[in-house]
Amino acid sequence: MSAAPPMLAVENLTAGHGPVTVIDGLSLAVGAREAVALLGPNGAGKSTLVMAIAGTLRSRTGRVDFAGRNLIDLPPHAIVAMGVAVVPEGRRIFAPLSVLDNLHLGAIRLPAARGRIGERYESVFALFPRLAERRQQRAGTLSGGEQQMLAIGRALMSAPTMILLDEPFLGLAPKIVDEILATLHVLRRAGLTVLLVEQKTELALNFCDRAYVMQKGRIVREGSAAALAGDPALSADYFALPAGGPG
Amino acid sequence: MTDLLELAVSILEAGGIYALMALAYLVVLRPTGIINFAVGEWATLASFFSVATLGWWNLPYIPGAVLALAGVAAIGALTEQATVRPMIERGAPILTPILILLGMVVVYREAAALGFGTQNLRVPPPLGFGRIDLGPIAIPMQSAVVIAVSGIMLAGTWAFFERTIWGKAFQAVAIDRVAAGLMGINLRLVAAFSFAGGAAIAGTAGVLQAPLTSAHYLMGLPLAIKGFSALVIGGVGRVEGCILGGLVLAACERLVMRYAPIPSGFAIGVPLLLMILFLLVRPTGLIGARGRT
Amino acid sequence: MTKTRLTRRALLAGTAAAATAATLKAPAIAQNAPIKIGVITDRVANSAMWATLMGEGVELATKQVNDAGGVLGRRIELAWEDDQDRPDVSATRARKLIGDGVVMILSLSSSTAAQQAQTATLEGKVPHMSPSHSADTLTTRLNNPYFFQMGPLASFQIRTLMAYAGTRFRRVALLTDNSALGTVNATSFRQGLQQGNIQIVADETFERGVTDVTPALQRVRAANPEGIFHAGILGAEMALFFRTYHQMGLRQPVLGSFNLSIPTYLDLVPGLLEGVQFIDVYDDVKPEVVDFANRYKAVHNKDPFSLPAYGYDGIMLTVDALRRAGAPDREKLRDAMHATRNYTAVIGARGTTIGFAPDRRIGFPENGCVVRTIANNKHGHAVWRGLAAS
Repeated sequence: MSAAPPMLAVENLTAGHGPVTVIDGLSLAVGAREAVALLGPNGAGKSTLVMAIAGTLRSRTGRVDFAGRNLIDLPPHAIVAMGVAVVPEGRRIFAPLSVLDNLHLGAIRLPAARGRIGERYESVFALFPRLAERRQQRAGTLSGGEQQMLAIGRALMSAPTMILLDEPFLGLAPKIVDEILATLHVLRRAGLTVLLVEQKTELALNFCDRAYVMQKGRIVREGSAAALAGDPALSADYFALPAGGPG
Repeated sequence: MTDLLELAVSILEAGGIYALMALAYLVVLRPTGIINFAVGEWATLASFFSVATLGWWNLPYIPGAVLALAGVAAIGALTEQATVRPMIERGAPILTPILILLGMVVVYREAAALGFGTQNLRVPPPLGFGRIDLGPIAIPMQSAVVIAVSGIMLAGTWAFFERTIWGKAFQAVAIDRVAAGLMGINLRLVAAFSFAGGAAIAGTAGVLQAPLTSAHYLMGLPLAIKGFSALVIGGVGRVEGCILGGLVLAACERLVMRYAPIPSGFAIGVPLLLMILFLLVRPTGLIGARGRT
Repeated sequence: MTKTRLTRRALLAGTAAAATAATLKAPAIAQNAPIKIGVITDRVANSAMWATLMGEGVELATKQVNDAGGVLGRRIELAWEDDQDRPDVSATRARKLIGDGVVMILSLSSSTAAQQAQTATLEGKVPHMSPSHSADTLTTRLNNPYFFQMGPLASFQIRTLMAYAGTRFRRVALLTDNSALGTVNATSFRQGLQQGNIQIVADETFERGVTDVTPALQRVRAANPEGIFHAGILGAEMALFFRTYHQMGLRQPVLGSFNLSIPTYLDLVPGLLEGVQFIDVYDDVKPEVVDFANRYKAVHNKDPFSLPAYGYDGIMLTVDALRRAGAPDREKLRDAMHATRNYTAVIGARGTTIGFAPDRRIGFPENGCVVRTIANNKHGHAVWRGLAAS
């Protein structure tokens, strides 16, 4: 691990939906330019964690340090302005609006002059040529893979320093998965920090440097991707630790 | 023939007012999911404010009207912050703010009666009550003003939603509130602006209508009902729906009143029957919301 | 023997002296206590405008009476209650006033409120008066011998209007609005017109909140009546009617109910009411009216009309009845009120008087209405008092 302070440091985060606590005293860190995976079964609270970091959950306590600022009390729009972008579970693109409009909305917090938006479009279209071809199309008419590309492209429009992806490969054909992974590699080389939530353990560990394993709202394992990849308990395509496992 | 031409003007005029009221519902409903029945009282308050700005203080028409609209827009934003936002932030079900706003109807009405009295007050028109002679018919000046101003406001709102990024942002909040928040759209600001905008739009209807009838503390309810009917007929989705709903409602009212061989007392009920019919046969209205593919 | 007689005489004299002293003492105490008259008004709701204007007349009359020494040697004190034009509240307020010791209650808000208040005045056996209401069941729906109606019944107004119409029209249009009172008025108008063999060629109702009345007036125009009768009472819709009437270039004379006597219209649609004729109880050439107008103008700096006159007459008639009763006693006042005959009030055509027949508690004379016109954007002269004798 690098000696520099982590870009994202979550300390003792407790969060939930209304009165129900989903995450209980969780801590993790993501270093600058790192790619970190967050693994775990359904219901472990992975998506809740993403939403808690992104600011869309009301009830949260603890610290979420990003680039020196505590995000815990900020509303989502302020967090985006700080350079955190989210590709949410289920993509959540704006289906009735065009591809271009969806991308434009991703850049709505862009503080710089209007000229910059052209640059942003170009960079996203360079990464995802398919989107360029379909720029005037209604987003709802795109295929599943294209919608995922749109969701990622939309997140990139705000020129973030860190991106959170929640199960981006769900339901996609292998060919599309490869295309998207290739693009993510390009982004990594360009310096983007990534937190990837996934159930597909092998895929995630192949892409990331480190990983955390979540279960029932807590971190139960952590380690380098290499170390975890060799663990027979995590060997299945879909994560399946026996109930009441270590931690 | 003269009758039909006169009726055409009447339909455009009433359709414009109804469309504005429907639009006032729409700009609040779409981003927040709240049906705000207090739109009628916003129209009332704006009419009274224009009595003050144009009648008592004698300002020239445009600054006076704009000031009246700004006043009611401020009240809309304040209402959102004081009564609606606390409920939303406490996670209350959507019915709660709807009921609160129903209560606000009474508050607004009593405030208007206390502030301005219960008598009918005169509101000056911008261009007087003359006529524009166009061949076989003469269009009353205020009718022309109503048609022009409501048309501009409807077109402008449409352009805002369809052609500007912030209009798209409002749409995004309506489509997927959480995702919109993740984009960095300030949800609180959108809610406040939607209430302010809705108030200004309803206020415009009030300021346009009042020179013909008067500013009166009970004028809100009929406008709110007409607006809601137009909204339902046209479809709760889009500005186009408001326009169509307003025109269809106005046309139905006027044509039935003029030509149907039934007593006019019954003719009054026809538009409400129309709305019930629409709800039964086509709940989404004439134009479906964009969210449905 | 002489001693006994003297003693008896002395006893009698003594008793007489004591009795005289007792009776002399009673009025001396009572003279300081004012006579309370209760007034139920509406300050905030639908009838607020009417009630407030009538209240001006009430205050004017009270001051006039008190300045002249009061009645029965005592001042009048008004006790005001606001029923917000709600019938149930009106009854409650009436009970409160009865408990406070009023000898008379005036009802200034709507007739439905006055009707409900009667349940209290009947139970409490307190004289109760409606100075202005025109509803024709106020004295009959509840058999309340304490309640008196001084105002002109709708049927009297219609009769006068129709008698006048019969002298001018054979084919007319009838307009109204869909308020409760507007609908009731229209029914009366319709009956009256039909009884007078006047044909109704167009019969239109304006909806409350209507944004324009073009289609209805197109039907009127197409029917080509000789005159237009408007039975409505809603202000905004009335204003809209006059605007559209002029916009469409309609020329038929417009005649209306007492509602058109409200000066609000002269502010709302100035200049658009020239020549409009309406039923009124205010005969401007009557000496009592001239006197009242001068007094009112001195205080309010504007011309009065029927509404303040109702309030004024309400107090003045009560005072007149109190004098005849001889004491501020509720039963005596009731009887004196019922015995009123030939009382010349401010309201009513010249030559007519107010009085209650033994079997009725409606005081306004059937021939007491006048037809008045609007000229120079003001209430003009009474143009017809044809049913009145003189």
